[in-house]
Amino acid sequence: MPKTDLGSMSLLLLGIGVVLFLSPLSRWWFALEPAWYTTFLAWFGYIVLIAIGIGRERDDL
Amino acid sequence: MTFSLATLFLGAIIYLSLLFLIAHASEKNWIPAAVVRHPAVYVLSLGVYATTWSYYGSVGFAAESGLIYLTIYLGVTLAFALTPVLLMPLLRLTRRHQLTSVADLFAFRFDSRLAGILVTLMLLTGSLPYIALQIRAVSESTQILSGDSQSQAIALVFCVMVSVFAIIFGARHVTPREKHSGLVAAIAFESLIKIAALLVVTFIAVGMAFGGWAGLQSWLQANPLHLDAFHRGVATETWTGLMFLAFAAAFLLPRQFHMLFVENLNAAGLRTASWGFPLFLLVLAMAIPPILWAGEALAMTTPADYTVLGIAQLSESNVIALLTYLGGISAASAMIIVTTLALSSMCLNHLVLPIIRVTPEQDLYAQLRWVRRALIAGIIAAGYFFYLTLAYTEGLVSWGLISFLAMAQLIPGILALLYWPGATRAGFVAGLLAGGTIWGLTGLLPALSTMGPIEVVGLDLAMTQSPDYFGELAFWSISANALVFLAVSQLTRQAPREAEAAAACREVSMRIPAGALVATSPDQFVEQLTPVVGAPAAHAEIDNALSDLALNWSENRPDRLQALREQVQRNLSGMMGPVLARDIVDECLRLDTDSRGAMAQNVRIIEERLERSRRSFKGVAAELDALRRYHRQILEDLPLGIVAVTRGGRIARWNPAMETLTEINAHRILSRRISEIPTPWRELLAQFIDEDQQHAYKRSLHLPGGDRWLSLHKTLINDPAGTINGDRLVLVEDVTDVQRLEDELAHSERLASIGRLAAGVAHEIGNPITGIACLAQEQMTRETDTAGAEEILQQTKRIDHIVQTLIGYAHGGTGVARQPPQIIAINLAAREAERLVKLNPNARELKFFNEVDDALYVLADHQRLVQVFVNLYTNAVDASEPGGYIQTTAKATRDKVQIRITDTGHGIHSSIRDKIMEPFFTTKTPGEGTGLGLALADNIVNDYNGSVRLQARRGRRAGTEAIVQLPRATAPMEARVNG
Repeated sequence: MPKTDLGSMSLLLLGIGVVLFLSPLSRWWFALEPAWYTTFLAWFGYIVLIAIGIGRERDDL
Repeated sequence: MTFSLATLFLGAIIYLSLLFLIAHASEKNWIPAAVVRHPAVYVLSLGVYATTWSYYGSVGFAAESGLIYLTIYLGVTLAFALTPVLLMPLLRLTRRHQLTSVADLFAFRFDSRLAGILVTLMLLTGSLPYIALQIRAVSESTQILSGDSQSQAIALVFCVMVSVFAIIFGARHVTPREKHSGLVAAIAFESLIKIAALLVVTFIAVGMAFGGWAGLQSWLQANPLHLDAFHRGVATETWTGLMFLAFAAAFLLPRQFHMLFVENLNAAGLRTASWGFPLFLLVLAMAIPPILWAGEALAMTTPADYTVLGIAQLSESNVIALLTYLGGISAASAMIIVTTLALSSMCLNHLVLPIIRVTPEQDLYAQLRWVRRALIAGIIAAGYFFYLTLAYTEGLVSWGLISFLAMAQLIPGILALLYWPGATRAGFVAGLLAGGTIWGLTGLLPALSTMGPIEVVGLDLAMTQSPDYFGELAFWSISANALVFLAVSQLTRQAPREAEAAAACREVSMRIPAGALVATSPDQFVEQLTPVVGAPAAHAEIDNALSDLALNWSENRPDRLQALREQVQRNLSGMMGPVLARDIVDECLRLDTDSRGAMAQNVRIIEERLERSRRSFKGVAAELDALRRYHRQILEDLPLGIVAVTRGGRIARWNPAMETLTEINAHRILSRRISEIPTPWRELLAQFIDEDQQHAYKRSLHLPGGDRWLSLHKTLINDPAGTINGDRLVLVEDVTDVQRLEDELAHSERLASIGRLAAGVAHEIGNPITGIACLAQEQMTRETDTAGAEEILQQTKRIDHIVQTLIGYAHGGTGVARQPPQIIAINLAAREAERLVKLNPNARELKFFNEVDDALYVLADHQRLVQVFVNLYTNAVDASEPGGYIQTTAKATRDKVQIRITDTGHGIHSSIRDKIMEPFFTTKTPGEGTGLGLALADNIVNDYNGSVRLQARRGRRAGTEAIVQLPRATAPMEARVNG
């Protein structure tokens, strides 16, 4: 993946992270009183996205 | 369950000794390099982020603020999601310019010693209490496990041990070129111990308190208030503020910066770390809620910050309790060691070296090493002092957040460093002072309110030490910092060196060295550096820089020496900081700024930089670069050899065609002097460049693969202003194939002529043969007739002359190396040609008048000149009617001889006058002429710097005049003697 695409992917991942953990959406789904490990599952899912998006790139970043 | 102080002491000593062993084993390669350099080890080494605050304090944090404790890890995850646009550019920058700390980074970007000092002071102030906190955690955990209140002794021993470890394994090398693999391995091992201990405690806690994970779920359902409290505060201002602080801390904390960038053994490790490190933190953070709830369910009396230890104690297992204790020792020791190393590097470069300059009489490396060791000991001692003087009122969290907030003040600077080239030094310093002042007054000072002198003043602001407060403080201090930075940057201008550094940070550095280097060899570099750094260090640094650039000590190419100068600066920057390194290099490795040849000398450096930076070009810059590349590609793809030579006689361009022609690689020859080009190219180019003439045609060159003929052209290169700068461009055209073709054509023409002459030869030979036959018959009757025998001999000579002339003509000049011009008598050549042409029966019906003076000579080759005459005479014969004549005259000017061959033929029609010299143009019927006669005559004469032209006969008479001009020669010596 070219560097510019990698940069875009990186910014997209940041956007997803902000939506997941910093936006009113996160306040909403916490208000639903999810199980205690739900946050960690969401976090784990986010890490998987990072690994797929930028972590497995073969070229030097 | 309690331990004796001696047991804990022994346990800590054994554990720290194990760290020594692991570090030593790594450095001695007892542990395979593939393991030490594995990305997983790098990821684990980043676990230095998790200090006793995370290990012990997170439970207390979660108890107080619920899920907000998670922000400290989620912020890091967001920062690592930006690896390609944030961390990797920083890694490239720190590697390329050998920057060893955050302070180096800013001092480099803003070309400012003040920026380095401010950042160092701020990080030092923010980190010392944090170090003290680690010592306190070790002391308090010892106290909890031993029940002995005299735990200061073990804290002191702990400090001594980590100091020794840091000095031995962290300050072994003074340059970041050499990594401390032992340190990395030991810190990674500590992370393993931390996470293993925490996971063991988690499972034990859940087992003890709830009887298993299902029990935990049931307990939470039965006690929903605990879960409500846990989820409180999510996505609030505090949540956002703390996440931002953690984002900054992820790579700006001195220990994080050190492990991420300075001790990075393998760039690919950062790619793995982008997800591996957040995964490590996830496992670490996930252990906290079960431990918290287990502590609450078990109604433990241990302070919330030490619930982890309390649960280990409750397990009644000595091993688990000791493992948990060692986990805390790991967290504290890793943080102290790496933070101290980072701070010592900053203090050395920005606080000590600007004041105490190194003395060249002593070993530079030893001086730096010892100063750094002293700084390590001093920083840990200062941390211990803080530990002794701090009151025990603040929780672990507050100091952690104070430290994070200090790092966060650098976020505007980091963004500017990477993405705002217009930011100025004044703006950065002003912004940092604004944000730093808010941080100091409202964050640090209240936390120190229980310390001696501040307590005397009467401040009691400890109430402000809550996560909510730090969330707000982060917003206001960083906003003030960023606004002041922005405003002052808009109002001030960058210095040229600052602008250069800004471009370098964005990897678009277009800096052209300000002049030509005074030094002309690596040895002279050593001489110039010696007065400042001492002879051994000067020699070692030049040797290292040469090795980095894959150059050797005989290097003398100016552009490579410029690259060497920059490499020396980078390497010194790794040891002494970028500002001091630049000062030393500017002072010692001087540039001659008056040198007009600097631009030409540095063309290669500029091109290399443009190539490196081209991806960063946008808009007009990108279009201009595309245009530059297009023009360069024209030169590269041109099927002519191109050599650009600077005023100083250095090769500035050597295109691929030249590489093919000479079999000399451009990389090997660029920037070298013409005298360094392998022979025979050296002689060819040097001679041509020195000549006055702009063009040289068909110069022969003897090469191992065969002779080649080259045409050379040269011109002076003007600079953009139109003035001549003395550089020259030489075009080398390989005309070997053309030359060979011409030779073959000449040979073909000669053979064709011979074919036409063959009938005449037969006739000529037939007559003497008839005579010989008659004479021979008479000899048979009169055996003593000597006169008859003489006649036979004469006739025989005649035959021989005819045959020899024919043979000489047929073989003249084909396939043999061209002889240099010789002095040739025109008359002899004309007569010989006449004899040959007269072998043609048609020629015998014409009269030949040769009126050429015997004393006229030209510079040419006899056989080739004969061919010229033959071709011209043949044309004249073919054009003339029987009874006509062909007249040959010649007259001399000062340096030329003009030969005029006049015939009485039908002349040349005006419609074909422009074409008659073209090869294969003929007016004869097919089979009678090849159309090559005149073209070949023209080529031959051109070879001797002469010319041929045809014109109508003067005086309105029918016929044609062929005028041949050749360089005049003086008579050879023997001719002058005879004459």
